[in-house]
Amino acid sequence: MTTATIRPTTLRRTFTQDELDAFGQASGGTGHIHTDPEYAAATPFGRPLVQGLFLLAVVERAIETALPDPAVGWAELRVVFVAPVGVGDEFRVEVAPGDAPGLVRVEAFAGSTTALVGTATTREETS
Amino acid sequence: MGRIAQDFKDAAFEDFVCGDVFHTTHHLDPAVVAEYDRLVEAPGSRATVPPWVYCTFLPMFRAMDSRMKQGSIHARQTMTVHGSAAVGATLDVEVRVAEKYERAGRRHLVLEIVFSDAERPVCTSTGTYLWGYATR
Repeated sequence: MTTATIRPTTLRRTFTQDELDAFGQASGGTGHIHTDPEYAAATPFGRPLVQGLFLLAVVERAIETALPDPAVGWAELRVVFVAPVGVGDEFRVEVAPGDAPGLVRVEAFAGSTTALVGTATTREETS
Repeated sequence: MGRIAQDFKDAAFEDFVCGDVFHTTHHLDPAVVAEYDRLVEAPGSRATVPPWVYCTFLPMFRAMDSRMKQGSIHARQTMTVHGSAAVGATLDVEVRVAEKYERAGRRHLVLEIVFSDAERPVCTSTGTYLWGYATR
């Protein structure tokens, strides 16, 4: 294990319905809560929610950006989804060094609301 | 119902038994890898595939031949990378029902998925889902 350089990184996305539909088609995440505004409007959330795996993909991309050495990747990623992110929300991912070598701290927000928290650990690429 | 056709029938929570294991394969099609990179705004031209491309719903639903109830949403996710997956590879997928429980009146389902190439596991993904949480 190397002591990876972790560059503080902020990544912002505002998801559109077209993007949720496209991600649903690519991933199988076509559930009505993600792809059917009429259905979603009748739920307590009132609008389509971004697929958790779409959020996670953006988080993984942010971590990839935070690890500028191509010889270092992440070995484990743990996240808790705290609050939903809807179409039109600004999703902001903040990645920063954790309090131990190789530890990455992840927080993400929908506007001012915490949407996701997590940690990652780094590893050296072996292949 | 819905704007996009659903390719899998809804499973019932009762259908899942802890320890049950389901299998399928998942091809890492270069076109799908490119679509993911577009959606995630990542640079293209990859030789290896990050977990975000294959730790998804399709291999899970295909293995179980069903989908989770409409309105099920993600509560937690852990992913452990064991090795690289190559663009164009076909991964073996093993889905295991790790846990199911009810807490505060909400049903939770925990699925562990191991993705392996011809030689070894490349990633283990464990997802916790709130069953049918976002429903009308």
